[in-house]
Amino acid sequence: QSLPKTHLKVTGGLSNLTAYQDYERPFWTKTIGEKSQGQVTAEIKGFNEMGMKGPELLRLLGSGVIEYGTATLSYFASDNPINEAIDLAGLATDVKTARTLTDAFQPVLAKTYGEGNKVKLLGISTYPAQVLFCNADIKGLGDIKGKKVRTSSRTQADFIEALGGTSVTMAFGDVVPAMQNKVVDCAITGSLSGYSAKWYEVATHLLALPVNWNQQVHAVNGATWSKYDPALQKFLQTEVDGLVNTIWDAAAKQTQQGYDCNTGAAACTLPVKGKMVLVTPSEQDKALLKQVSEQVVAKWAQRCSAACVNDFNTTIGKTLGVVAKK
Amino acid sequence: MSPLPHPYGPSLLGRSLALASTLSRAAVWAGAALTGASVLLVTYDVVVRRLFGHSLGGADELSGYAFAISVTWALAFTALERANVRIDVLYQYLPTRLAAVLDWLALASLGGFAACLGWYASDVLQTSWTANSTANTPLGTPLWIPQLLWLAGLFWFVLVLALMLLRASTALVTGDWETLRAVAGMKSAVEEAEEGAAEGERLVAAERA
Amino acid sequence: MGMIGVSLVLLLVLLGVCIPVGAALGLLGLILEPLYSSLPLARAMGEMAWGSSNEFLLVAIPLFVMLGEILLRAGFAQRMYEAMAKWLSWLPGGLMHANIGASTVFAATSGSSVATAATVGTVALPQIKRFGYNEPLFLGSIAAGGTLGILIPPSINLVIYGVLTNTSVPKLYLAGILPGILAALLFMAVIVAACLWRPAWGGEPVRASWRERFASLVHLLPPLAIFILVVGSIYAGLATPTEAAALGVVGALVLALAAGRVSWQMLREVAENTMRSTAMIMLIVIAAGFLNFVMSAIGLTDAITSSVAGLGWPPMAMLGAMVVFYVILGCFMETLSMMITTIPIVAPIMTALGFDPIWLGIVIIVLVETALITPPVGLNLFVVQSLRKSGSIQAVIVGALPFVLALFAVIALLALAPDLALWLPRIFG
Ligand code: NA
Ligand code: NA
Repeated sequence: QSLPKTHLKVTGGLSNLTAYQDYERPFWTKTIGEKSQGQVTAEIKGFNEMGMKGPELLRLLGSGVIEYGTATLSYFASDNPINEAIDLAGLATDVKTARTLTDAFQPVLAKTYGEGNKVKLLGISTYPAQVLFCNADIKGLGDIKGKKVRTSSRTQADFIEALGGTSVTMAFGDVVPAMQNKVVDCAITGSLSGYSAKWYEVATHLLALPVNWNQQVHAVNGATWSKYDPALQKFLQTEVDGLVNTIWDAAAKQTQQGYDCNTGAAACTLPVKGKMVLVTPSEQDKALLKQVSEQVVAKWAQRCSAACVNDFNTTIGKTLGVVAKK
Repeated sequence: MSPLPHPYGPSLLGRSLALASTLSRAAVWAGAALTGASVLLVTYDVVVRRLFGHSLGGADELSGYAFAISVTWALAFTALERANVRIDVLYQYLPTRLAAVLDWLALASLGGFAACLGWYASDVLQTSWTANSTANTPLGTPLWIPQLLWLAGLFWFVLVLALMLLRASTALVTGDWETLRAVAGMKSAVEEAEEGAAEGERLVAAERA
Repeated sequence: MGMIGVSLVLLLVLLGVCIPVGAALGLLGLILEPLYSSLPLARAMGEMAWGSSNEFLLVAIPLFVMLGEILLRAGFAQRMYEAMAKWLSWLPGGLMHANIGASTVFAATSGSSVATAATVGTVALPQIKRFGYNEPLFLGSIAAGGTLGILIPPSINLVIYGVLTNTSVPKLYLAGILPGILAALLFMAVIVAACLWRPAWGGEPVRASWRERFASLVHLLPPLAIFILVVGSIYAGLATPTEAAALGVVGALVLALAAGRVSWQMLREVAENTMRSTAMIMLIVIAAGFLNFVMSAIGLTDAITSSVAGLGWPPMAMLGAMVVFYVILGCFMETLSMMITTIPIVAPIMTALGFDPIWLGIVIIVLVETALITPPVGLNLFVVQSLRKSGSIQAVIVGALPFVLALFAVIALLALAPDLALWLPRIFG
């Protein structure tokens, strides 16, 4: 049977990133139309193109200003720390674990967003791994001690502080001069975003250890969603699931691509190759990481509610064998 | 150099407006003091970071809040000083009465926009309060605090605009063009020349002293 | 009538009936919503306003304005300006060259065109009456000189371009220097040409001997100190532009204290003028941000940009189209909003045609400079107007127009000789 003729307005993720350009935009502007025989069409703009900062997106989705939206989960941590649960620094050091944790916790987030039929969570995808770029000779995670590190969220800050480093907040655009002039020694960002922003020009060492992921929420306004015909709901959910799968698969490759291109490895397929030193984490680093991530979880548990901590323990905690205590 | 209090008239409304003007000036000083505090905080942060290699953390965040707050606190003063930019391509060729009507309209539009802004801004505070939102930064600032102060400035702006609009309306009805101009008019070339000249002379005199 | 036409007419009507610009932009957004959208876009106004109000980059605005206000009241800006006047005002057009020269020097200490125009304008304005200059041209030279603030490093706008296009900011900074100087020289050429054509516009001549000129150099020391503090701290990597502005304010205050010029009266004036200018500008920024959101949401931004992107013209024709596009858009939009909305769309199209991203950044910044001095929405026009506090803004608008032509000439020269922008980044990068 044919789907009802529908036009969707989508506010996508950061428009200058590959996740948007290679996956999200073609998905909404092409794939959806093809798969529905032209019945469902969509237009999309990145939230930054609309002059938004990100954190307001979930609020605006809830109030119906935005129909469909994509944004980094950690932006919403300010309204509710439950949004940090799947992306606490140090928990998921490979994409498979990140996906497992995300899937385990997704029902909890879906329930939280769904309260009062405000927002319907469609899926959670990710950016490539968030990693440490340093303009300093580091041999491993332990060398972060005493370093100044630019972080972009509370959990990253907790992580750096737990390692004995100093967390510094600054705009993304300030990082290159800041790192060049040693205002900060290191900075955390996506392995490929760091490449795109040419951080390899000022940073010397890249620690190939995912700190966290910056998962992306794909959601729709609750009222909009509930007005849809069930066939349409099913179609859209299936397609978004497909998009989310594609992005997760790509994330692993892009993370590696970021390592390769920042360090000038032969495997890099992009035209410009950086000359950074790739620091691979040792067993010692992994042990330190476990210890540090426990502190990160403990700090987070302090700011989240008892129910939230409980939800963490029965899902993520169970998977990883970590217990958060209120 | 700021001009003397506007001649709003001896009525209760006029005196309320004069009082509002005094309070708005105080709000501007408070806003400037906040800006000054940001300057000191940011400077301290830069110096300490360089000399001792550690950062206070949050100087950027706090100065961002201070900036937002100081701006809304200064809005009422800006309106009272009639400093909001208006395009006067047509205005200058209009007869007194029509210009007066446009002055009133400009004030009413500004009031309308400010009221909308205040209304939707109060949603922001309400959401932050209900969700107990905190900034996703090491400081974890409860957002309702800066947002409440920010909103207070917007509400004061709306209140002052309402008073100005009331005063302008009575002036419009009674045909008191002089008061209407004092409350809502574009500054005249004469006023400009007087203020500009006074300031220039004073500064030059100060330098020669 | 299409969406573009309706919006344009509405905007012109709102501005034509003298509604304050901030209110007009905000109200236009509120009117467009029910006309073209089924979504309650107005509800975004509060969140948008909060988002753009506590932006650390924007904190640089009051700080740079405050820096200028303090330097002015400390008497340094005045004397620095006078020193520039001694060196430059033998040219036809007299002090208007000092406006440009002082703007160029200030541009190298200020990351914002607004602050540059505000600082130089505060000093220069009283001179109009004193020496009998043609008022519009004089005001225009201040507004235009101020635009150099975003082309000559440091520049907040160049940082934003770098972030949006993943282009190296240090290289952009290097690329901006020569075009910045070129623009300053062309501005001076405009003044010379105008005053040769109408000698009365140049006011009473201001003469200075060589002895006076060299003696005046000492007055360039305080601004030089501030320059080293502000720009030096950025290039030495001690501070971001906003932090450097804070350092500059402290430095200026120390200099003012040393000169014995700090008083409660002075601080009160600094406070009131800084906050009045900032609030006036921010009201427009907030309203423009909301309008920009509505325009994007209803597809108006797309309608405008697709008419440019869809042409399929050869590179130089596309460059021409881009210039026209930015000139038109720049008439109506606040520049940061304009940059943030269009660059992610325009830059990929243009670089795909073979234009260098660094070079393109400089061209776009020159177009943004143009936008700052084109009516009806031109931030620098408003700054100069706000400094005058009253009078007709038309005088500023008319006076700025010849300088718009000079900026077009800069773009033409950049197109003919891309190395104007690319040479420095190549030899130092
Ligand atoms: Na500059
Ligand atoms: Na303009």
